[in-house]
Amino acid sequence: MNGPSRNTATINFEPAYENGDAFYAALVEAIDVVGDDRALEFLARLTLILSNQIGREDVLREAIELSKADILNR
Amino acid sequence: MDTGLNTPSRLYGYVRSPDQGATHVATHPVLIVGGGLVGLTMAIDLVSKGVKVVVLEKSNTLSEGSRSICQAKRTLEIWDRLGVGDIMVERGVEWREGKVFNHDSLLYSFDLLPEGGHKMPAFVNLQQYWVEEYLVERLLALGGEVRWRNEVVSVDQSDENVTVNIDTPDGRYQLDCEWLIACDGARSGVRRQLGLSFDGRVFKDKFLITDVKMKGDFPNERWFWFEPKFHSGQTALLHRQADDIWRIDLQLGWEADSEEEKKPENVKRRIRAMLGDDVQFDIEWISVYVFQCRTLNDYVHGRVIFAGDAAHQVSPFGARGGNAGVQDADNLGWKLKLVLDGVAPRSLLDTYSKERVFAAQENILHSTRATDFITPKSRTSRVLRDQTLSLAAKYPFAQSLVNSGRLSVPANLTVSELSTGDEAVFDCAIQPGSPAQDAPLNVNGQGGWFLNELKDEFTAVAYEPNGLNLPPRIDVDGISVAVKTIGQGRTLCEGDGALRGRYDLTPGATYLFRPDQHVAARWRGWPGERLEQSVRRAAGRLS
Repeated sequence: MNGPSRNTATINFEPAYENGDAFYAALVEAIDVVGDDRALEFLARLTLILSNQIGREDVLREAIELSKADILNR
Repeated sequence: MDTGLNTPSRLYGYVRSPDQGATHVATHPVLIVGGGLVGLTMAIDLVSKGVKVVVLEKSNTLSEGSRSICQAKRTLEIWDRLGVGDIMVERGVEWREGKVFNHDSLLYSFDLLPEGGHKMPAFVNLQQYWVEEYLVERLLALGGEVRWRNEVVSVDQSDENVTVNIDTPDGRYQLDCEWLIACDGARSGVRRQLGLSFDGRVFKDKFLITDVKMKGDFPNERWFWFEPKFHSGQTALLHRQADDIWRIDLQLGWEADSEEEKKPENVKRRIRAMLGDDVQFDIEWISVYVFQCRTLNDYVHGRVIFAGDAAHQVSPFGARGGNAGVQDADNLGWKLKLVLDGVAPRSLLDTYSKERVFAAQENILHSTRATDFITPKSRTSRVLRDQTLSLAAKYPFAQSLVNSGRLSVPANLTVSELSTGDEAVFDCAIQPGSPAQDAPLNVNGQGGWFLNELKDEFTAVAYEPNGLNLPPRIDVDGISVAVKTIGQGRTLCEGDGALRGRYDLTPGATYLFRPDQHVAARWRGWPGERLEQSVRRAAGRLS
C-alpha cells in the first residue's frame, strides 16, 4: 500500500463550505452535547446521512480508501 | 441434532449391486458422489439426456432436517425442465413478501416479484427432505440408479478414467468411470481425498436452526428481527414451510455453548419466549451452525468435477446455497453430454468452472455482506450497524442499507466466452449470458409458457420471421438445434405483450438459447450461418 495520494479523481480538496467555521462549531457542539460516550454513535449516524447525500459510488469509495490509507500510514 | 424427524418415512434400502464381487471392475460413464439435492438434480439432468449415471450415497436416508428451504424461481424453472417442477410448487409454500423488524417495530416490508406472467413463483419454501424425495422419485422413474450405503473412500484418476473404492455393508468394491461428479456437500470426502484447499472465511457466530411444527397465525412471509425483545441483542428469523412446519433461526453469538443450546428444554424456552404462552408447538429438528463462505478456485480437476456445497459454501442469508448448487448442475449437464458425445472438446468443461466460480463469488460477496451486517465484527462496526437500523426506522435511504440477506437471483453469465456479442441493440435487461425470462405463450391455442418451449437442447427462437418457413431442426456438426417460430397464426404465438417486451422483439428477431436456457446469441433478423457459428461458440468449438 502506497502513501496517501492527493491525485484522486473525484474528491474535491478545495474549500466548498458555505461557512466552514459555523459547520465546525456545530459539529463540536453536537459532540459535546451527546457526550463522549455517545460521540461514536453520533459520527456513525452523521456519516450515513451525509454519505447518502453524496450518493456516487466512486466518490464514496475514494473517500473511504483515502481515509483508510491516511490512518494506516500514521 | 436429533429430536424426532417429521420427514418422509421411507428409508432407502441398501441393495447389493452386480458390480460388487464382479471379476472385472465395472465401468460407468458418469458416477455422482452424493445423493443430495444437487447430486440428484445432476443425475436427473444427465439421465434425461440419455447418459447412464450411478449415484453413490453413503447414507440410507434423505436430508436430516429441513436445511435448504427457500427454493428460488430459477431453481423451480430448472426442475420444471426436468419434469419435477410442478410437484415442488404444489407441495411447497409460496411466498414473495417479507418484513424486517428492529426491536419490536417494523422497519420495512418488501415484495420480491412484482411482475406477473411467469409460470414459477419467486420462491417456494419446501424442506430439503421433500425436495430430495421428489427428486429420487423422478430419477427412479427415468430409470436412474441410486446406490444407498455406498460410501466412496478413495479416488484415483488417470488421463482416461477415475477409479473409486466404495465401502458398503457387504464390504469394499471398485468402480471405474469416465467422469466423477462430486456432489458430496460441505464436508466433501472427494475434495478431501484430492487434497484440495477450500479457502474462505468462517463467521464468528453461532445460529440455532430449528424446525417447529405449529398452527401459526403468521402470514407466508419471511420475517426477520434484529434484536427483538424475545431474543435480546440477537437476530431471529421465522419462515413457513410445508406441513405447518416453521423454520425458526436464532442467533446465539460466538461464545454460546452448542451442546447446551441444543438441549430440547433450552430450545423450548427460547421458542416459547418468541411465540408466547398460547401457542402449541413441537420441535422437529434442532441444529447449531457456524457459517462460512468458501470456494474452490477451480471446479474441474482432471476428470473429477465439483458441484454444490462440495465446490462452494455460503452462509444461508439470501438462500444462495442450494439454489446455486442446482444452477451448477444445470450448467454442467449439457456440457458434459456434448463432451461424452464427442461433439464438444473437453475444454468446454472449463467454462463450467469459470461460469460457476464467477457465480459463486457473486453469491459469496452477497452472503458475506449480509453476514457482516447480522454479525458485526467489532464494537465500532456494531455501532455503525445499529445506527443504520435506527435511521431505517424513519428514513428510506437507511432502509436500503439494512441487510438481512439479499435473496438469490440467477447468475447473469455476462462474461461467458460461450456467448456471442450483440451486433444490434436490444433494449431490455436480458443480454447474452442471461437466463431466459419466462412469459405467457399460446401453444396450439392453449395458454402455455415460453420456458417450457426451451427443452433441454439448443433452441433458436424466431419471432415473426416475415414469411420464412424455417425447418424444425438444424444440425450443426452433430449438435441438434431445435427451431421454434413464434408468430400470429402459428402453433406458437405470444400471449400478451410480455414476451415482446422482455426480449425487445421486433419482427425477425431471433434468439439462440443454450440447453440450460441461458441466451447464447441474438440478432435482429434470421442469422443464417451466424447461428451455426454461435452454436459452435457456445459448445466451446471456437477458440
